[in-house]
Amino acid sequence: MISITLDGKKVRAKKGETVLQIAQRKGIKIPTLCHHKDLSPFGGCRLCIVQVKGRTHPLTACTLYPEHGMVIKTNTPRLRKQRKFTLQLILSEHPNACLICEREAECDSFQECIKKSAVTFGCKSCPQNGNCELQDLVEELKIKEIPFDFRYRNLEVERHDPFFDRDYNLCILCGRCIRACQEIRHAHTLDFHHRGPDTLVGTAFELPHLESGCQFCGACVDVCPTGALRDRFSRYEKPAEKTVKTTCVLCSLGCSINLGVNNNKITCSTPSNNQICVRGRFGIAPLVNHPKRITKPMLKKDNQLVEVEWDEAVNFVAHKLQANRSRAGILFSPQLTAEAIEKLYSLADSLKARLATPINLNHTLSTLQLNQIKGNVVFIILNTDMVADFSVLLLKLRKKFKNKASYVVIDAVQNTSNGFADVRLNLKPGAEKELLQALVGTGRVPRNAGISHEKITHTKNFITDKQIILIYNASNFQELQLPKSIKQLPLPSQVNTLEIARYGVEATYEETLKSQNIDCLYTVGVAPTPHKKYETVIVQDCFIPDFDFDVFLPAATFTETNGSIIDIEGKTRRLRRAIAPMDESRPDDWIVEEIASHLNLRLKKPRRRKLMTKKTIKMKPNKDYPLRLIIRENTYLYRNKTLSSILKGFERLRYDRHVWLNEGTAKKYKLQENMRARIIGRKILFDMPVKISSVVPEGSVLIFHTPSMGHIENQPVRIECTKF
Amino acid sequence: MKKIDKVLKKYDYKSSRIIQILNEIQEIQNYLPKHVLEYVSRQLKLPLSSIYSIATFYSAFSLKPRGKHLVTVCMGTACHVRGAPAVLNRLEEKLKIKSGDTTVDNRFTLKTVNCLGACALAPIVVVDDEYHGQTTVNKVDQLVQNYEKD
Amino acid sequence: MCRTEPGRTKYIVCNGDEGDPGAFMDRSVLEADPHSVIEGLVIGAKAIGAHQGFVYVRSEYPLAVKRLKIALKQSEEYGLLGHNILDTGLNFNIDVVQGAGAFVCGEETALLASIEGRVGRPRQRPPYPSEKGLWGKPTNINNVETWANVPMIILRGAKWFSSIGTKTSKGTKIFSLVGKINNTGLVEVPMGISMREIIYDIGGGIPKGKEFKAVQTGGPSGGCIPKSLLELPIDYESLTKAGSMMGSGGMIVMDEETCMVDVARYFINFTQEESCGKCPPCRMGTKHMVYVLDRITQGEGKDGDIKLLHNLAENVKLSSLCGLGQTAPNPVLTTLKYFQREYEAHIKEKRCPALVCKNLISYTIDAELCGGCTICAKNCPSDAISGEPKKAHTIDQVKCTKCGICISVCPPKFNAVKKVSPTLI
Repeated sequence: MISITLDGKKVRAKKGETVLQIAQRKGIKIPTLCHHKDLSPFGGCRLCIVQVKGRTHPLTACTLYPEHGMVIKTNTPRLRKQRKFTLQLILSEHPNACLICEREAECDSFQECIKKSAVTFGCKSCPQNGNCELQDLVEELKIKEIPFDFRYRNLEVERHDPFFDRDYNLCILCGRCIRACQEIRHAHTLDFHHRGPDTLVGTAFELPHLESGCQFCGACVDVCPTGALRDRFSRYEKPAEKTVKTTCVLCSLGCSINLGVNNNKITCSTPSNNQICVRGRFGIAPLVNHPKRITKPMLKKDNQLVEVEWDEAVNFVAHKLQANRSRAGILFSPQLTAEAIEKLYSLADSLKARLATPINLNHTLSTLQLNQIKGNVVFIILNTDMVADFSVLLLKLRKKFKNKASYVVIDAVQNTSNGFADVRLNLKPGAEKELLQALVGTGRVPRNAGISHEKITHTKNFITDKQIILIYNASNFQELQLPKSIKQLPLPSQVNTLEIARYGVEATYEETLKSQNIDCLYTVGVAPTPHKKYETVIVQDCFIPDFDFDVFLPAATFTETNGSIIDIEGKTRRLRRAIAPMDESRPDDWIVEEIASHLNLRLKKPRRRKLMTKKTIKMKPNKDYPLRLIIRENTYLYRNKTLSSILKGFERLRYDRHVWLNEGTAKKYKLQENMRARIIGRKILFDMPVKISSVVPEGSVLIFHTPSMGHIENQPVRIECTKF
Repeated sequence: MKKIDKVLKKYDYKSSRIIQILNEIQEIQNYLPKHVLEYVSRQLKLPLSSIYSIATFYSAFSLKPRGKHLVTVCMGTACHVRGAPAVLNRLEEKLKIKSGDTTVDNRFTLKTVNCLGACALAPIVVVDDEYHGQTTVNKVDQLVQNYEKD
Repeated sequence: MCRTEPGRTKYIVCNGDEGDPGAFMDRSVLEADPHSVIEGLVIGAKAIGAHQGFVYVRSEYPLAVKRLKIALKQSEEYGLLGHNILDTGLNFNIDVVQGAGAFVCGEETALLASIEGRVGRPRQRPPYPSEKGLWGKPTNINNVETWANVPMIILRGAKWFSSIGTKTSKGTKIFSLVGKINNTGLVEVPMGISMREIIYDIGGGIPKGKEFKAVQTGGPSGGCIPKSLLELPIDYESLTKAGSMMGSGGMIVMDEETCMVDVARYFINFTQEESCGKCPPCRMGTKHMVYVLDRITQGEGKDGDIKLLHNLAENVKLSSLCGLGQTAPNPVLTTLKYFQREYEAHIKEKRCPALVCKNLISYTIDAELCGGCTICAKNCPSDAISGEPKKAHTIDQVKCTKCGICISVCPPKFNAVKKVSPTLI
């Protein structure tokens, strides 16, 4: 502890605390723009200057670690004058007509004004209006005029990337976005470039973000003090009236999010206490407000879908379920609330109906317990793109273990984990087990693994004396036999997976779908490819599925529902209703309960089932099927839709409805980008557009698996161009 | 790429030596090509954005290919008071390019430098590695002609 | 200071990023006597207990880098560098780091960032490099000239060194005397010598019998000292008092044909280009000064411009993060202080008294002096000169691009082309 004099008062301070932190703790307000509590001090904006006794030049409080006995003043006429000057200079680079307008108070939104040099320069059309830190400071420092010429950078607004726009004409070069990208996300997409008055923020070679490794996590948008970075969905929305803390269900991690609500509309979603990813940051608001959402119950009458009242729809459903009972099959998505899932189990119990879910329920699934991992660890990440699929977990690992953990990435696909991997093994697909055995034991690596002996030796040396933890997306493998000495951490790709594994399922999704004993199919949040004609198909969802059905029950999204989900660590996380369910849509548990009450059933605690898993057969490429098929679970989905199929931004970011192959393979089979190709295996047939990418190894094709594709076994395939 | 590997090896793949590495790459390639920087980024595990930041911050680096002859006009104070701006103007007129650009035929790249430390010879123009002291507007025409031949 | 800092890893750095335009002392020392710098560094290393040294040299000095590397190799061969130097138990190595063209890297925190392979953006001190320097370790950083002086001081003793110079500015100082002066080059003088002695006695006065106007010292961070202060003794204090500074020792002499507004614009344009862009006072403050000076030299100066310049200069000086910005306004402040009349001539009369600012001058041919030799008309690149042979020529003011070729080709026996200000059109 040291003691300093701050504005005439003796103040005690911890070592390592900056003057700015001490002042904030003591309730002394020092203006600042480049400082952000979660980021390292930068000392660039020069607004937080303070006077230190014995020094001619003032010092920035955010970078000043005081010495014992320092005498500091934070608010003197000289400091005020200099701050004002500096802010005026900052504003000479930032459109300022509205900021210093004396009639600002009387100005209405979007009002045309003779004083506005151009409407685009005005605060009223800026998405940050009312939330802008410059506006606050102009008021605080009482700036009435800018004595300098306005220097407009005249840069084109960058709108070509998904999710957020960038108008660097509004940028004040505080560098917060850069630090957020580097320090919090370790993404290093952004940096300053050029220098002096030409300094700008941007990507390497000013490439589009899509080409520069950006994860679109939005951390930069969230720290920007001005309107330079703006969320595209909410840019025309007013600042949120209220925020509701809830949980994101778009992947298995269950991150806390804050939903911005305006007039019973979700306008944006931002991180609550931790980081979130592109799904949670930019996927939720457009999903909930999607124009194609169905929010009224519909019933097929005379081969025509018509809107009906809830009562009529539920009556119909109850009638059909009653008639079929054990000939009913219920397929549900894990992305429902835990409460809804429990009720579905009970309903199935009462009806003796079959129940299945499309996720891979592996015996090895267990709760993630990072607290039990101690000492030096090496995480071997197998065939999993941690950055795309589990970026928040990766950040958590990096934060928790700091430099005590190292990362070995094993993948046939060149995924984006390259940036943080200490060692990367780019093996040929199919040799995973042998490679792992060779790494931890004495096994030899087969020649066809495509990895040199030196590299193996190097890796072996690298991992010796470290605790090895194998991380992989459980859905990427049907069954992975691994040496027992390796501690495994299979990651489920959907929320509630652990809960469902606890309940068990008697039949797999495939078996249920193919069963001849099922006449009535009831799908809740899933869109299977039907294998037969059913007597009745009941759909409970947010969006219309691609297949024929008889009745549609509009479900509310997770933002319109109270309840809970079970996350990857087995913890229960609360879902809080941010807005009332849209139109006639209703929460899933409400709908199930309605059905039960129409059936006069009392839902009881569900019974446990045995967990069903299945074995896979390994096959090598041959003359008829010369290509290896690499399957990766698509973790970008909500209920019965992939995000890429309903949201344009995700389509451009993910290309997950495409079949990926490299240039050489494409040339060999005379395929070009976006051409439609047919992938044919012994048991599969898909038509997909082509995406050419160097990340896929020669002789392989990569597809992203979604539940609607059904179960795909690892098998060799051939690919053909389809004419259409 | 072999030459690039040699440079990287010389500096022991240390990202702290990036400025020296870029200096040497520029000497080999005459500028800093994007694909080479991408390669360096992968090899050094240094983000491409950082390399781009460095390459645009320091004025010695060029991200565009440079002409056969590099014409450097010193704009140091001594050169300035002795008429360097007129010399630069004349060169810009003669080569029909602005400072920092390259002629269409790729023969000349014109750039300015803030002081070569050869103030006694002011104003000074350097073509490739040859120093031309006490340059005047008249001498510029002759100078350009001499280098246009080869 | 470094010596008392705890920790085993310490660094020693020689700042050879002499960026001041018009100064080349470091270059000459590094090229001519690199061994003295190496010796200085070794002594410094012994004093603070460092094992690694760096010499940072501008990229514009390739010869200096080459010679320094030769000298380092020689030193290693003689056992003056490396392991257990001369059995003293000292292990010390020196690396040469070449800059890449950034003036701001002369600022010590920026220079250290540059050695670490980062962009040369300064940071606030404290912590000083002696506490937290290279890679966060205690680092002693000094200029080339300082390190080169160390061996002599050790050899002859501090008393000897202090006996030269003034009470507060001890020893000698090398200046690079350039510009409008007869004898250009480096001069080493004892501190306290007067400006007149340097310019007239050593420098041999102004060429072509022109009138001395001012001398600029200290590079872009320094200022212009007018004729009235010719008797000023050269030491750190008096130069600072006059609004300039010693800096690295550049001394650029200017005569009556130098426009002081243009000089101010030149320097501030220089710092503006070399600003790292981190803090607004330097990034934007210097830019706005350039805007104002640009319009003044182009004859579009406005009434309040001098006041605006003052305001900008004073505040940039007070508010900037590092030395570059804090001293950048000095050329503007000193020229405003000593040559305000020249500013006013530009703004109010649209006239450049020194006949430099292109927009405010015209070229004209004195009909009485012109011999009609046609040389000017032949050489004019824009066909602006017309006239019959043997008859007086005239310049078409609309076509004239003011390149000045006509003046330089007009035979001395006629000397008929003249510059006038304000402009003729």
